[in-house]
Amino acid sequence: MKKIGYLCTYVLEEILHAAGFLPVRIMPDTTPPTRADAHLQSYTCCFARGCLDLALAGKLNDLAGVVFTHTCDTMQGLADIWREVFPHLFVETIVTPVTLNSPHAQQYLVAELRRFTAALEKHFDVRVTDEALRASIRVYNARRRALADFYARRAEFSAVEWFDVMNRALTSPPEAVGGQWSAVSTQQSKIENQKSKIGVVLLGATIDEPTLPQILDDLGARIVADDFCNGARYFDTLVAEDGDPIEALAARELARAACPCKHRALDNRIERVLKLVKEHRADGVIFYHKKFCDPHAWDYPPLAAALDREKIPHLLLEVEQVAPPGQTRVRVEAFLEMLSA
Amino acid sequence: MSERRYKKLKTAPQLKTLLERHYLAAKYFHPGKPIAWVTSGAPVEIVRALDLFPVYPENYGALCGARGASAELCQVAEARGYSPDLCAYARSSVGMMNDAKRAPLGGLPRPDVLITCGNICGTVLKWYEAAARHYGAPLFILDTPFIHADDGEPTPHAIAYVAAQLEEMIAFLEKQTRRKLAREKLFNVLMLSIEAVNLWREVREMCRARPSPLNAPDLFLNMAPIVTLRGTKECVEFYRALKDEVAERVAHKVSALPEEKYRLLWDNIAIWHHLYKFYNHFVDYGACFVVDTYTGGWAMRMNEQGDPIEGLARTYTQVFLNQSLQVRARDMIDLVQRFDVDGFVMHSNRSCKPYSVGQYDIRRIVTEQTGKPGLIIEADHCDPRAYDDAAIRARIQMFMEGLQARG
Repeated sequence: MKKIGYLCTYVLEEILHAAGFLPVRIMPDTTPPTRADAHLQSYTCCFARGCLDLALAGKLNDLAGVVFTHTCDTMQGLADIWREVFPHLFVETIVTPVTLNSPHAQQYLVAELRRFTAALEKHFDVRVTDEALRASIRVYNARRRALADFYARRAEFSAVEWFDVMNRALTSPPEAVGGQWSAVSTQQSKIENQKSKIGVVLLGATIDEPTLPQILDDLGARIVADDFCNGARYFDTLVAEDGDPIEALAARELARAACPCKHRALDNRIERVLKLVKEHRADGVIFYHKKFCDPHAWDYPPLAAALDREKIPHLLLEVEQVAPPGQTRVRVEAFLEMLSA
Repeated sequence: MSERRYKKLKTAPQLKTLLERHYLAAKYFHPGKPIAWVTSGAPVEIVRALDLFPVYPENYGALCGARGASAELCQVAEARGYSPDLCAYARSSVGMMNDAKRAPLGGLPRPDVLITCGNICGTVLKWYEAAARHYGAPLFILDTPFIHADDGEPTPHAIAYVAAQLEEMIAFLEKQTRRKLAREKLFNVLMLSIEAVNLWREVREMCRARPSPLNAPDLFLNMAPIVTLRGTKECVEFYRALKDEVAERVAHKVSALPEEKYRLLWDNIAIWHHLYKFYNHFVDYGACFVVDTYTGGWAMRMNEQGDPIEGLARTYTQVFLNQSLQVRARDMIDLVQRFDVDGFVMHSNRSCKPYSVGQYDIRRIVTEQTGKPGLIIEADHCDPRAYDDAAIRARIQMFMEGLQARG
């Protein structure tokens, strides 16, 4: 099966899958992104630079295309750079609406998804039928349910296992996920007395490498909830399995938990974060932000103020490509000590 | 601030009066007119036709930069948790909201409504969300889908989407301000906008003359009315006067610089905090910026015919910052050729990612297709702390020596 890469969970995997491709999430590795420096300024985030660097290093040569959606200013520029650098590839942006609450967003997005689907069909000379779309919707809904189940049982897993399952899920065939996490669950014996551990909520764009989960495991803390693009936001909300499939996909796109690049209501994300903390009885919140990520940096002051009002302790970690283990450990340890005091 | 070292415009006092009057009226005298904060790329014609008073936080940000107030205001925002990597206009604005004492003119007036349009960047969404929280004022977001298509044309569904939102925006403003939009008034404002925009485009085009009658800082200062007063009679009158003066310069071969030896193109927002100092480094070499990509953002071609709402939707969706790097490179090649420049200078602007990301590839494309060299300088449009004059000077020297060597 040919693969098509994507960089954001607003990309609708179902359409790619229905066209006969395996959609895989591109995640940067831990090699310093030096090749990307020829195209991206040092003040762009490590995620953008890291992903482009993989492509420039030839590590994404198995991809037949890369699909973007409209999110932040850096991704917008990166999409154009990508098609400039790889003119032979299928590089497309689904220009998703910013205002999810606009009464016109659904109609616009449906038309935009049809345009994208037509471009995909034309480039690869394939047909995306409603029947295939419905089948793909069922497959991805099953994966979302499996991941939601896994999350419901996350107390049984370590943070590193959580990181592992999520990142493997997003790069594997969707049919495989159930098997994956049951394999993980056999290793769970090492996690003991989970209920007594300190619970934290993690917030951020993506989590690309396991330094922080490892530190949390070492220090005996649990991730009780998260709001990552490659975390809980990925499987939030199912696609309706009846009716017009493109309409159903668009409706899910507008309904699911919003990334800070999007707008639903002024304090929508603040309310959602407070709800996560309360529902999961978290002891504190860790902002795991990438340096130069504007949308998350903008959300930090109002979120921090809302957490302060609710007397919920929080910690801001701003990372480049790899969280510095020593410094991160010291800061997380001090934060956890404060939470347990 | 350093002094300018090139010819001053006779219309400069008129410009100064016009802007001072605008800011004073915004702050102290706008009887019966609710204040609307709007982004520079918002369809202000609707706001004006409803008889609201639009103010422009971005223009105010430039003013903070030019008056040397931005570093302190940015620090106020940073102390409140706003990252120093965010746009310095926006940080200055947040600083102003929280500590107006430190802000020029005592800060902007409180908004009664906020209108943000995403055609220039994603920052304006978050910035206006912050302002809406701070002031408790209602916010309207106009979503203008970005155009990745190589022909620069918006999709029909994007135009329909923006047009539908414009109707929604009218209804929102009517409800919030308890007034009713008269469509003929919108038409009149639109005509005034079109007239001013056309005059501004003509002024810019006159710089194709050798020697150029204007240097980039002239364009930067004289763009203020097209941003903040678009759709008014005063704006049209000002650009008529400016056009007459510039035409006279061209007729008499009056040069902006004492001697124009090199012609350059400027890309990205001005470096407001070192406006004269920075451009004087080029004046030293007799290099005049005869054209730029930035102030051309308000020289767009506006539709005069057809449905005004659809025309506005098209105009404001197609602005250059809502276009791909491929389209921007093509436009820059056009400017390089039509203005017959020897090279181009790109401001890699830490505050403005949508304008700056892609510049490295644009430079390569433009040089490949025109043979003209490009220099990239890293700075910030509004935060003087990100400006290293010695390093910048050294880079300018190398670039200009390269141009000299080409003969």
